[in-house]
Amino acid sequence: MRVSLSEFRPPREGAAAPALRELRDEELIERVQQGQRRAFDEIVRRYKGRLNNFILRMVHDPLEAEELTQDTLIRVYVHADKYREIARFSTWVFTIATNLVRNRVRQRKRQPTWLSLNPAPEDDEVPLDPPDPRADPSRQVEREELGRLISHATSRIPEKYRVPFLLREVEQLSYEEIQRVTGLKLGTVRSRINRARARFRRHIKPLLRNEALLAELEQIEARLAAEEGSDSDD
Amino acid sequence: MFCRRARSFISLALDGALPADRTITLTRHLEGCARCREYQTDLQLGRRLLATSAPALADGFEWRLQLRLNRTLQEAARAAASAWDAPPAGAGRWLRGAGLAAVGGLALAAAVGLFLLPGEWSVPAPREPGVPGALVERNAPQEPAPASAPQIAIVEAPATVTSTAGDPTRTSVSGQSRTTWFGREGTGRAVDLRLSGAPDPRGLLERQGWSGGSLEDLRSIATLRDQNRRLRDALAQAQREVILLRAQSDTARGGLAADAGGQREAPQTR
Repeated sequence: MRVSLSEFRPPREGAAAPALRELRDEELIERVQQGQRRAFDEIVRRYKGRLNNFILRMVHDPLEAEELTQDTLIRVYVHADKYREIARFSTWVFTIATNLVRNRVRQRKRQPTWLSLNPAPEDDEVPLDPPDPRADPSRQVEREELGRLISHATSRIPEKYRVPFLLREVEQLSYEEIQRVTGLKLGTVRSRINRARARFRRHIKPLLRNEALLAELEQIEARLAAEEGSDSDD
Repeated sequence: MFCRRARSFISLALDGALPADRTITLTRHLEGCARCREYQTDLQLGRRLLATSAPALADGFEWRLQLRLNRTLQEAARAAASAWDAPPAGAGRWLRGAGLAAVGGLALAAAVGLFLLPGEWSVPAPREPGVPGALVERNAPQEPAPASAPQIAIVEAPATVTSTAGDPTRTSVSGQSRTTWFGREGTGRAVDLRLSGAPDPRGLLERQGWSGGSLEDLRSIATLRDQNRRLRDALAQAQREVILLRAQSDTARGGLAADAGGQREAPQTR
């Protein structure tokens, strides 16, 4: 495989070839192993949001979550040849992410909070991205506020319950996949998810009795469904 | 059925993991228990809230990922190349110290021999002051032919130290040869550690067309690491040989001292 630095450009949204979009994750990583850079771009497109969603709910810091999301994807690329199709690709990816998150949480417990005095990255290193014309600021605020409330409720679930809970609720991994990712017994996975759900419910109960918020939830769901429909038309 | 058990069933049912017979039991319980029905509704709502509150990634995520990926690959390559160049931490100093002790012993023996047995212990190498930067002229044997595996050969030879500027050890590195000289000005021995059979990493990178950003480059890094490991093994072997040299010099010094003692005692016995 020969990929020069000049070819290292981020994929445009929706730029992946239709053939790659139709492939299973396991087929994509096989192509990455063979040196197809575009296949990795497609993996990034599929997993960046899911990973960030999972990691942010674990670390509660958007910058740290992005860094860990990137770490996970970089490891997927660098260690692509180590993946064997004995488990689903998503299981492998979330095992990497879970290990990175656990290490970070452990480090954070050991070290006091500190402020970096390092200069910001060079301006010319971070290209400017034009804003998405479809983005509506009011929608963004609604979603951010709701996200903040949910994130707060999630953060109050103990970490040992939160990992299987998020893998199930957010990533929709099966119990067996969660077992592989976490190394827990199947019965423990079930009971931890059950306990996490009970705790999560206790923390969001005030939200669940809020009629305005429930109405907002339905509106957001309708918008998301409409956006998904327009994306698939593209 | 108790509500606690019913709630664990609700959790399983939400994931579609509740067996059919238990589903019937749960349905019956829910018909008569308003609190468990509310619990079920709340779990479903909670799931919807989690799904709709997915945090959005900041703009430019892909660019930042690409930059970090490039940096990671380049740093890995640089680390592999610099590890080839530099000896393991402390090894150079250790080697120099051990060599100094070994050859210092030999030099001491030679110096004593010069006083006591003139002609037998003299160091014959001539001085060539016209060679700029030359500290020593060595009477070393020819460099061994390069072997397939990298090797470090210890070449020890009598030498004349022309200038040490007060420092009894001098090290110079040229090409793939690391040479250390020991001894006081005018006398001493040279220990030359010669590396053979190891390709230059820069040459390897040029041959394989280094781009800094592909899986093939990582394979080049793996190759360099493997060569680096073999070089370290060779260096460890060289260190063992230096220890052997030191032991030999200790033996020679002991024998010399015994001879000197014998000569002093001889007239008395006569």
